[in-house]
Amino acid sequence: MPELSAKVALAPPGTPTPKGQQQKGKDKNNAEAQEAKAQRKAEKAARRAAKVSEQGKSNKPPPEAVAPGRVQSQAKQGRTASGAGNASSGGGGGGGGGGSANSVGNVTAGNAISSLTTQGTAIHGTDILDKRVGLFKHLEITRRSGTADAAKDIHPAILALTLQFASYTVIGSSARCRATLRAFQTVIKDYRTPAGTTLSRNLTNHLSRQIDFLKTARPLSITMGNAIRWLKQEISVVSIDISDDQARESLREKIDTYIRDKIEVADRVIVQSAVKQISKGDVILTFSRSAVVEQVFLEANLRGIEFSVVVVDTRPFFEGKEMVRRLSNAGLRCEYVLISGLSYVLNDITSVFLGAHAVLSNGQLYSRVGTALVAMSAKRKNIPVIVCCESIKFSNRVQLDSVTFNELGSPDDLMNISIDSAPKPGPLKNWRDLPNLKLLNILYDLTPPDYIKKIVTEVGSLPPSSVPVIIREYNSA
Amino acid sequence: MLAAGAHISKEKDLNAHIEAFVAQIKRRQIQGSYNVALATSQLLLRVVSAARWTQIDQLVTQIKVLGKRLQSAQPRELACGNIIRRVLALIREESEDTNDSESGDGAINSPLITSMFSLLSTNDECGPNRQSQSLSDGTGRSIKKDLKPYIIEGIQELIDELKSIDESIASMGVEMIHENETILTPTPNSRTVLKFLLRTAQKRKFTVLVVEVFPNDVEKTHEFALKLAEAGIETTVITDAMVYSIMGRVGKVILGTHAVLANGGLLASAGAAMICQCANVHRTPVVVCTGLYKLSPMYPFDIESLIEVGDTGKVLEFEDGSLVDKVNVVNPLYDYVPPESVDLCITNMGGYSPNFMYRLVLDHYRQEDTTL
Repeated sequence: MPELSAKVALAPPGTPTPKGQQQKGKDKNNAEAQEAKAQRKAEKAARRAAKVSEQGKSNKPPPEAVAPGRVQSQAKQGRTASGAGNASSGGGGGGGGGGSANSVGNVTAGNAISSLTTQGTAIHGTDILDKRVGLFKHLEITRRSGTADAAKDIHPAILALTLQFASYTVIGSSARCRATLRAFQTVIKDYRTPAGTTLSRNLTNHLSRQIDFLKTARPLSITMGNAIRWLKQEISVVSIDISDDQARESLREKIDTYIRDKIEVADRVIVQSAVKQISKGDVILTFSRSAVVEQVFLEANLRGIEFSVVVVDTRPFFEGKEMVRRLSNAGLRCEYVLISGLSYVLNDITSVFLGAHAVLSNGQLYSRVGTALVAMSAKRKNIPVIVCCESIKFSNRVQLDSVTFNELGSPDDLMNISIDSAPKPGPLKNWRDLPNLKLLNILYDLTPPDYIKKIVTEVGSLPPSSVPVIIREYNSA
Repeated sequence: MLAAGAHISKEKDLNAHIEAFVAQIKRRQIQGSYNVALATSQLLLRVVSAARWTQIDQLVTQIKVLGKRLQSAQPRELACGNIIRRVLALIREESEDTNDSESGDGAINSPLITSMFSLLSTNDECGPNRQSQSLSDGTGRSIKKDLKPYIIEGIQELIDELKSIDESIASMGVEMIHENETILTPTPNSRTVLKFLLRTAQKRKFTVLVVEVFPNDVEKTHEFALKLAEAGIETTVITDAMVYSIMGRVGKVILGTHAVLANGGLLASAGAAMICQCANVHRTPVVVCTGLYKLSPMYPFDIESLIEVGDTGKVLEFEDGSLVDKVNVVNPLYDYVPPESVDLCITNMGGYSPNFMYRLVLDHYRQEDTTL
């Protein structure tokens, strides 16, 4: 991916100073040094925000604007910074809390940061902790706002990808897996084995550091975990007899094949199989957006089957909007409803198609939050629920409820009550000032296997109870 | 002459008032079943004070005509019709009482209709019959006692009852919520639920999960959460989609409602049916807080006609023209919650099982008034 690395090369402020690097290595646990570091980071962020706003004023598109991830990250920085401002000044400039991406928002945010000392940063830190919802305190909040603290050996492709993950520009478990593997291809291409070690031993460590950095944006998806496990295995068996060039080339090819087999071909097989479930006159309900379910609908439409789709969507991402846009552009009859209107539309539905983030070993479906409600309502009406899912999404993990393991999104997303891209802070804009008020934004939930009629995978259609069988066969193969 | 002129102008005045009221409920300037109920009863107070009648049936017909008009102005605002039926029942009762004291055989209209057989019978079968009976009864007698002050007093009491409803429901909070409980409320635009929680918070410490019910009334929802948090209650706002994932940790679901139907089913804000179903799946009790004025004698034979559909611009912004053109967007405002999903109805008369609601209907309304 030369495109990606080029984007990041345009973003010099993100690269760390060697001094900072040295500091980090020297005394990691020294609190004073960390505070100083945080201060430097804040100052740097302020400078950068000011610079961006200047560029915005002179009406010249800033060079960073080329990389969407970067710009978004700065907007995010503005958001967290003004959040901190609220906490210390008792709700002063709460208006800036909307995370507005325009330059004005950045100016105020920049000012807020520069007027803050390390104390402000510290308050912000505890603020996040106190504002966590009791039940979910065990989940860590990963909120990456920039790449300023990245270590020197983090590849630019990974930096870019991290920001794209953090800003939800790259979203969906298949898309994230593919993007990660592509980024790894670039990393491996640019990797040079240091003296005194071998590729098969050192590359794994090198990749682990990249992965650790990726994790600071969002936790790894199940697909990413599976792909990484596979890649590490592949690296470890690279023969020490072949040259590094050959090894790199063979790994690149293997990754290509993996993406093709596990995602692209798998999707095609699933589509071919699932499309048979759609017949003339069907009204099919789907929730949020799944790439493979979307392909199933488009294929059915291409085959001339007359059916219509009801897309149920939810806050805060409104992913279903993109789904409904693509489907309606293809000429499909679509209906769009938010999840609160689910029981109103459910009466005419003939079947429900759902996508997956992961399917766990005990048959539970781990997917975008709201999926469980949709599946439950469908089950109560005896409407079959069909899940389309590549086998790369199968996980060895078992889980019984959505609380023990989940991913937390930014609570500020709930404060914003707009339905389009322009943020509109509602009455809760100063919610951080009220100690008793919390906003919960979890991203996934767990659908029990009894709500699912069948899972369509590239290795065939199966009931949820057969998931461990596939995992077993798959691991032994 | 002078007195007659004054009377005409008074009538004109009243007509203008009714006209204004009809316009207001049509335009949704009076919103929420409580406000509608209160305004309707105040209007009826004026109408009854201004009305002139020689026989009680004239008054009944007059109010029925008015009721029909109000109901057709906003057919889905059931509270309006409920209040009218309450007042009609009140008038009938007063007239029977006087007849009773006169002749001692006024038990004709007393609720004989308690058997299960007549429950399912529609009004057309038994209504006109009874009405003609009562009409013929009425014509025979001239009202010797002036009923007006009694009826006005009755309506006055009804208004007082309306005003104190939230208070009496809230006082039951301590019986419902235990210490350290987690409460989920899917209808945070309900003032009854707000008062219920605030009052209970004085005695108990608990956590409230507020479901947003996006996109309608989301601002009200957030203000509701703010009010709870300001009162010192641990409050967490969650989106509608998160209900399933957290339901396992919830002690009780407390629901406000728009209307209660005679079978114990509810018309509550959109999403409530799904959330109640979710509570049922998790065996979490569902408690409904409602004033009796929301209790309607109607049965939900046609659910879809009861559900109002709102502004689709709240779901998909109209600026996105290319999408809005092609896609069908729905935004229902209410949900029908079947009685099986509800465990308990707390009214200002105490707590009842939803299966018992039909009995309260018989207590408060006359069957001949079911269709206005």
